[in-house]
Amino acid sequence: MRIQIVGAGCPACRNLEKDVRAWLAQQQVEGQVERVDDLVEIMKLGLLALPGLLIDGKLVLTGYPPKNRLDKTLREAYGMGVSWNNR
Amino acid sequence: MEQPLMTEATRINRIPWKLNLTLLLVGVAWLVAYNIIEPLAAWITYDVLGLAHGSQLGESLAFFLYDVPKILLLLSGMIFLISIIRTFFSPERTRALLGGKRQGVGNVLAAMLGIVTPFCSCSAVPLFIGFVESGIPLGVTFSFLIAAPMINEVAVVMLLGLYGWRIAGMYIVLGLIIAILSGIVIGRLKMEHHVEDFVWQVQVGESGPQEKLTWPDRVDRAWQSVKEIVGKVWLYVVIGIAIGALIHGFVPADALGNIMGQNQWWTVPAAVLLGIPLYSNAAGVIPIVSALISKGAALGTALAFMMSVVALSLPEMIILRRVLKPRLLAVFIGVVAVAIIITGYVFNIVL
Repeated sequence: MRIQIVGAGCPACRNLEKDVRAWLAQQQVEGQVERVDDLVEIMKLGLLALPGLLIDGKLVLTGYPPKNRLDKTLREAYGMGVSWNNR
Repeated sequence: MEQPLMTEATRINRIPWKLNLTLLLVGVAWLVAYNIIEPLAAWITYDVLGLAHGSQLGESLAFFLYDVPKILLLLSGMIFLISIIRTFFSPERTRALLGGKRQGVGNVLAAMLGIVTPFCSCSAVPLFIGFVESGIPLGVTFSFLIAAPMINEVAVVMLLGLYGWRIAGMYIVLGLIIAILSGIVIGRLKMEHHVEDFVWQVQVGESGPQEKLTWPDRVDRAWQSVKEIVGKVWLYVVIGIAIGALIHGFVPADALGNIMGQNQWWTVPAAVLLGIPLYSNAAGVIPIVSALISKGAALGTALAFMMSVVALSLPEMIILRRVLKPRLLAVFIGVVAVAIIITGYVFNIVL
């Protein structure tokens, strides 16, 4: 799974990267985490709020997400069931 | 897959009443706490520690013990409320609302949306490009970019906690006026060609997925931002109030009247200039500013200083330099600085 964090290195963007890596480690699944920080690339994606999250080239989140939203999004991407503590 | 087990009906039934009950209980606890901290601070200072009423140390300590929890409670409560409101707005929605608006009406709307649209300074550039690309006039875009950081929840809460709603309200209204007028002036100057050329060539893609939020999602999101913002500023609040408390107790009243009082015309521009390179969050500056005022510094001067610190920050200028040519950036700083200086004078004269 190719996971791209879109953002120009602001605190929220760095936090999102940290969260994603922590999630991968916790779930013990593989993922290739990258950063997209080129402004022109970012605008092509139509993002207005940073950071954004791309999974296999598809934009799945914009803005810094709460933990349970990130969990839900990543679970969907990895084809896992919905966690009970996540409704 | 566990999902099918949770039908829509059980999902709806399971959460909201529990959640709303919790919210209600937290709200009641908040009110109780807010009302007992003042007597509690006095009790600790004068009864438990036995400090004398009116003594320098006693005054300082009572001020500190009351103000720290008061500001932190206000901060948590207000951030929670405004975050809930913000979940109903998104940059995409704001852009759609501003699309097709003319100068004038557009500037007013943009400045007001600047308060409620979730915004962090690192998003300033994509927001700027996204707005300008979709045909929103440059001046209207600037009204948004000026209002968003200036009228931030931390600044408003600190003013509310330390001065009451009149001053906080005046700050909001004057902030809006500055954003509206500065945007109109920048729009009139027709500086479109001073935006970096690549901005006009960028192909802005289709907007990302628009999420549908449920009530629990909104509460969760608001709670996350309370944790994030309070976690980030609490130490500044404590240090700021500690310094404020020391000044409050130990510096004689009106000691600063001669240096920073209303009669010194040059203090307003000096305060604004001093504020530009200083980048601090409002939480750290306001308690100090407040203590200075209580010792005779003029309110307008102090507010101008604060506006300058939060609205004209060096890091944001560096970010904006990526899309603005130096001249437009200089005009932006100049127009906003002048607007803040005028505001400072008005405050000093009126109050």
